Amino acid sequence: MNFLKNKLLTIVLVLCLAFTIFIGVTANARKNTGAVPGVVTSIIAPIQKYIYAAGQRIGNIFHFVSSVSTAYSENIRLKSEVKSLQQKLVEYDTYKRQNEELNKLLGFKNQRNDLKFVGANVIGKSGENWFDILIIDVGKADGVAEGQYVVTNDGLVGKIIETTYNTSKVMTILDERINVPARLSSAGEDGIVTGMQSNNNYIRAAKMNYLPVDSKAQQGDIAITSNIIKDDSVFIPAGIIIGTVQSLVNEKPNLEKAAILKPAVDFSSVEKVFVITR
Amino acid sequence: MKKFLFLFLISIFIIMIQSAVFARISIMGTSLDLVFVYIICFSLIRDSVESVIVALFTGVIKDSLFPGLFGLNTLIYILIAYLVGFIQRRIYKDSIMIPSFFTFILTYIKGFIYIFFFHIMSYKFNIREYALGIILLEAIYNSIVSILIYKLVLKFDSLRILKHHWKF
Repeated sequence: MNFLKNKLLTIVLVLCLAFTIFIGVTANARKNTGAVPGVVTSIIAPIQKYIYAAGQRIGNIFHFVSSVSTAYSENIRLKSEVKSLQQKLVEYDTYKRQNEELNKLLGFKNQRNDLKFVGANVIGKSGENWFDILIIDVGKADGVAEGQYVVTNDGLVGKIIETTYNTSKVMTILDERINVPARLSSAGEDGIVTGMQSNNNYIRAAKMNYLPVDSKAQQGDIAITSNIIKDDSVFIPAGIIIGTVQSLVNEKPNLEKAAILKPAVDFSSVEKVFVITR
Repeated sequence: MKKFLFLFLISIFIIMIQSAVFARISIMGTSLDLVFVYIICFSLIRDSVESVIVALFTGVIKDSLFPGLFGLNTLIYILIAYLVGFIQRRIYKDSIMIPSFFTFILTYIKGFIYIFFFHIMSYKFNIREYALGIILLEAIYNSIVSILIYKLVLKFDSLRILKHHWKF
C-alpha cells in the first residue's frame, strides 16, 4: 500500500499509456471483441437480465409521467385520425381482397416464412450519449454474427456490430454511424438510413439519405429495408418496416433530398427482439 | 482484500444500474452517467490509491460494454480519479457545492476527451451540437445527482469494512 502511494503518479501514467495503446489497437480494428470484454460481459449478462426487467418498470413510470402533459392534445388528434383511418380501412379491405386474389394467381409465396429468427432479451443500453447501443443476451453460441438485422414485431431495431460468446451489441437505427439500405415503399426510391440528432430538443431520429432531388416521397410514406446491397457473408432481408416519413429536407450541397423518419419501433420500451440469422 | 471485494461489488452494481435503468431514462435526449459521478464522489472522499484502483476495474467493466473501443472509459476514469484525489487533499470539502462543482467541470472535460478520441478515430459526429447541447445537459444532470451520490459514499465511508488502519 505504501509503495503504491509513493509511486502512484508513475502507475497512473503507465496505465494511461497502456490504455491509450488498447484504444489505438481496438479503434484500428473497429471492434471491441477482445478476451477481456468477452469474459466480463459473459459474467455480467445473466444478472443484468433481471435488473433490466426491473428497470423497465421504472422507465415506464417515468415515461407515463412525462407523457401526461401531451395526452390531451394527442387525444383530440387521435380522434380525428381514427375517423380518417376508418375511411381508409374500407379502401384497405377492398385492396386486400384484390391483392390476395392476385397473389393466388401469381403463386406468390409469403416471403417471411423462410426467415430464421433467434429470440433475445435486451439486457442493457451502452455507449452513453454518444452511441445508441443495446446489449442483447444471445451471441456466437446461438449463431448470431455481425451485420445481421435485429427486429421486433413492429419493425427494424438495428444491426449487430459485435458479438461475444453469449452477448451481442446492437447498433440501433438512431445511431449516427449505422448504414441500412432502404426503399420507400410508395415511391420506390432507394436510399440509406442513418441516425441523426434532430434539431428540436436533441431527440434522436432516423434519416434516409441519398433520395433524388425530384423525389416523389410524401409525408406518411413507409420506408422498408431492401437487399439492394449484396453481401455473401451476411443475410440481408428485404421488406422490414423501418419507419414512416415525417418530413423531407433538401440537402443542398449534395443536390439530393433526405427524409426524416419516425422509427416504427418505440425505442424507449424495447425489451424482446429477434435476430434474423438466415 | 475484503475491502476491495466490497468496493468491487458496489462498482458492478452501479454499472448494472446505469446500463439497465439510467441509460434509458433520457430527458431531452440526454441521460446521466451514474458511474462517472460515483468515481468523482469516491475520489473526493477516499484516498487516491483506492480511487485509482476502483477507477481501474470500474473502467474495464464499463469498457467491455462499450461499442467499438476498449480503454477509453478506463483512461478517463483513472485520470480523473488521480486528478480529484490530488486536489481533494488541499481543499475544504464540507460545502455541498463541491461535488456538484467538480462533476460539472469534469463532465465537460470527459466530453472533450471523448470528442478528441472520436475525432482521431474519424467517427462521424456533429461536434457543435454535442458540445453545446448534450454535454451541457449531461453536466447539469450529473451535478444534481452528484449531491445524492456524495451523501451515499459518505455513508458507506463510515462502514467498518472501509476503515483506515493506522500503522505507527
